[in-house]
Amino acid sequence: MSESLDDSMESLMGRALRGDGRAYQLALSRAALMLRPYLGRRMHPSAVEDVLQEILISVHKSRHTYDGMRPFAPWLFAIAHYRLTDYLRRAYKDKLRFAADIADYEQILPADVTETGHEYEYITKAIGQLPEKQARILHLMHHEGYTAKEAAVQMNMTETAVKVSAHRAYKLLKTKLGGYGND
Amino acid sequence: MATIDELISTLSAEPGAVRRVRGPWQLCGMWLALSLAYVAVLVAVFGIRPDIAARLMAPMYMAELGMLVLIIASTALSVLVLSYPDMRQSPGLVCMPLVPLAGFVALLLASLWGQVPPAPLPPHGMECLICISLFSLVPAMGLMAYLRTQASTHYFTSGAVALVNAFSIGCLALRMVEPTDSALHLIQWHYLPMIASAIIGLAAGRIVLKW
Repeated sequence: MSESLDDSMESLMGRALRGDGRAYQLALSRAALMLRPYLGRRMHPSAVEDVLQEILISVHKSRHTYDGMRPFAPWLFAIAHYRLTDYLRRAYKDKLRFAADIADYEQILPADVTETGHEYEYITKAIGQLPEKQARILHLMHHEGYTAKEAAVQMNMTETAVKVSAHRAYKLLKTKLGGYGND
Repeated sequence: MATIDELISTLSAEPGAVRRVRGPWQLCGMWLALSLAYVAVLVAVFGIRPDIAARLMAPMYMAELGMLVLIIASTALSVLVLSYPDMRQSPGLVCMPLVPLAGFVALLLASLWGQVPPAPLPPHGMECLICISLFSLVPAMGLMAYLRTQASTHYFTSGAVALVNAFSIGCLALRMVEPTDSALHLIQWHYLPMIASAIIGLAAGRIVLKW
């Protein structure tokens, strides 16, 4: 029996299941060609060949579940998807296993980076100590979400005056917060 | 590239034709026949309930048995379809058991509310569950052993449906052996544990059917 490139995968697999080794070889080669781009889009290129081997072995082991009648591609890609998912699950599991636990490094970390409550309170307190107009501008722009132009309308000021006032407020805050933690 | 080519050569060099697996409908018919034969053996061994002649005239009892047979048939078909990697390209069949299961729930609720006065509760409870579980062991192991030779890509679902199938076989057998008709007892000790069997099946599927 001869094989031609026009043979469909279904007929090749049908012949393969009847014991035609050459048809089976051609079917597997074509399956590998179909699978490479599918895998290449979904995983690191260095792992493609390994997973492709696993898929071809799975195809070989489960070929008795294909009857040579129904479309071949859904059957092939169902196995490929199963193997790929399995591989990715293992890969991520390994990554987690070898991932460093932050608790192991607690002693050498310079400071507690998540403790923001005091800092927020300190900033609020510093804003409260600013002149009333500057504090109000900062509140409008950073708490209420106003733009400088909108704040200017609210404050009955020009936009430039608001910007200058905000700039002065930032400078004052910078000076005040420079000593954060010392009082 | 050489490795893949070598692998393909090695795999294709394995001689001989491959015996293809039968279609799911044919397999389902065989499994249903085997299951009913197994139920018949259990009933013969443990003795049929003494009031069976009267019960066979009771529509609710007959409907219950009929629904159980439908559940066994549909779960068998579902799990056999699941045993193909591509789910035989008709995944809708997998959901088939939902129809008789929904009907069964409706039937149980109807019998619970319709039993006036309610049938007396038997003094036992857990014994029924143990009995059903023991009856289910053989079909569960048989089905799992078969599924292991296949290539299910949905091992969780396969395991769950397989154990619901086996548990239903146990339920059917016990309903023909035990002379109890209390709807409350049946729901509590016969049919609610079917949910537990599905959950155990999920875990069993992962352990036994992963390939």
